[in-house]
Amino acid sequence: MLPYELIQSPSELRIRVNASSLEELFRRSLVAMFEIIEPDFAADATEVSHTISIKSADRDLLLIDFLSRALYLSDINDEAYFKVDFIRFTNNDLTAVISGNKITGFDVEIKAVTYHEVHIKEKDSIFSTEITFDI
Amino acid sequence: MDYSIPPHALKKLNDYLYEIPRSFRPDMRVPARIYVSSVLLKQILQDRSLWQIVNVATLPGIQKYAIAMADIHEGYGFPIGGVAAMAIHEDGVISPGGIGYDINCGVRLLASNISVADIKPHLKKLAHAIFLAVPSGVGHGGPMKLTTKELDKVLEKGAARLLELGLGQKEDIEYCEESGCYKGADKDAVSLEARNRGHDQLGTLGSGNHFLEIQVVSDIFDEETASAFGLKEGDVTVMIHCGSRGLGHQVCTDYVRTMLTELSSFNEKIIDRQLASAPFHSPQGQAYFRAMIASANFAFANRHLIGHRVREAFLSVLGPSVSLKTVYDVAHNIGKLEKHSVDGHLKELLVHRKGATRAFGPNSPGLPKNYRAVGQPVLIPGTMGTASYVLAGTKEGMDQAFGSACHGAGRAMSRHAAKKAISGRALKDELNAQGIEVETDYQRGLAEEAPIAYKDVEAVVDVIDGAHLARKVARLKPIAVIKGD
Repeated sequence: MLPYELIQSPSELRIRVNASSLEELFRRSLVAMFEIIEPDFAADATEVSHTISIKSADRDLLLIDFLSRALYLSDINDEAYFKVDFIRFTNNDLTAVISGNKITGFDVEIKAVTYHEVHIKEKDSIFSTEITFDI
Repeated sequence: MDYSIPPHALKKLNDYLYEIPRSFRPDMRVPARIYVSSVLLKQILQDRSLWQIVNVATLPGIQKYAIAMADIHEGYGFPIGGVAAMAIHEDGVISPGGIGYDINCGVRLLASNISVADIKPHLKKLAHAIFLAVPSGVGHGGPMKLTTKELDKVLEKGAARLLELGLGQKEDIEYCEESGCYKGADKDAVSLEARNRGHDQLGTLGSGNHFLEIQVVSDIFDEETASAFGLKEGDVTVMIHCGSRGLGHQVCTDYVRTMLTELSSFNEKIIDRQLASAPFHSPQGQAYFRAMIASANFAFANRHLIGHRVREAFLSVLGPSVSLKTVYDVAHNIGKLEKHSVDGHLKELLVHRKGATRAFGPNSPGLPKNYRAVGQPVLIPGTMGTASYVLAGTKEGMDQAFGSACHGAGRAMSRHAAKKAISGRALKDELNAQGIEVETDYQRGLAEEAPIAYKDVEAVVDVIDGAHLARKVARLKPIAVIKGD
């Protein structure tokens, strides 16, 4: 099972993420987003972390809101995140520490994480969803 | 889910117009109309854009038709290249997804008094000077860092604020949609997050399909209108394509979330959450509308400042006898309150244009006085190796498509596929061989925007002209391309 795969789309960037748990799905989605943007790490690549709390109507929205928050923090702080520790995780709210490094830039600009066709499915203990990024 | 539109569902109305009738799906409130040729239709049917325009036809308050332009391609929620007009006094909605993340992404065209022959010896130097003067690329900020107070002024006054600071010319504002200041902005409706993303991005181009080109007027199709627009065959122009940068992206993100969260019951039955909307007169609808206007003002100011920097570069490289005048500046991702005829009555509508350019015909309100007789300049950027177009709005376009036209060639290939099809180096060599200078520090990004990744701009513009939504005035060919990473 690949952690994520790219789906061809004419205008935006779309991925399918698979994981063995809901938490892992969120984690892999975060890592995928920051792998896709291909960050250039700063010379000292200082480690950084932020605690974030998100509350949403359901788990689909929670995933998008979680990624949007990470994208915002990345954009204003010039950082990329590849690690997440969940302090609290339910179907509609979470508190997490996301960690990563300072970057000098990245190759792909994700303008936003869209809500387009996000739908977390669970089948045979595998959680999966598609995520569409506006680029 | 079945996303296909069977061929029999498409009724051909004429050589440039097809209709998907309201009977196609029970939830459609109006038919969907697609301005396209039979050749382009084959291309369009390869993605889900027509299914998406049918979804748009289900939104509350939509009037006459959900409209797709010849450059339509699949987006998220709304297709890209669509128009939807909602009756605001009849429970019509406003949808952030129907305007897009890059609020007031648009195009500014400037015309110079210098010929292509005279500029050629200086072209490389000029392109490089512009590349240095206009920051471009992913997330890159510019030298202008706005304080909260100063950003507020830009959000409220748009390009006019920069003129107050001595940046740009009075005519830059006169020849801009809404005179560069869309009235009704509410700075307080713009979140701190959006401000944080935008405060250092004024005067920057961004990345992706945004570009700055030095072009030459290669063909004139309508001498009288071209003359009114200040365009002369063989003269050099500059085209700027960008929008509201991170500020606008965040505003859209914030308000799609607001509508899904605070109006969850209202949006319960939508087929795609990215179509989330709010009744226009609801608190959420009004807050988004006014934040969207503020973002649009930021974008007008952004293109104004870039135009000013380009003018400075022209003067520094070519000397003081060179002039660079704004022909027009127009949005193609925006929501506008406009009056249009519906069933013989003038109605106030909120016209969503997502990847569609306003194309007002002669004597329409808000046009600069020099353009009133000929109609609004409609600026259609093509691709870096082909051509861009200037068209003029028509009366027929006002009646048929709420005064709208296409916004570009329209993507036909994913960025990933484009990068696989051609390398950035090979594309740069190809462009150089055509006499086109390229200034970029990221060649892979260049490949993503290769001409092969787009539909044929000539075919797209021919549809718009043939359907009388706008008429061809001039073709512009690139001689230098400046792009970010």
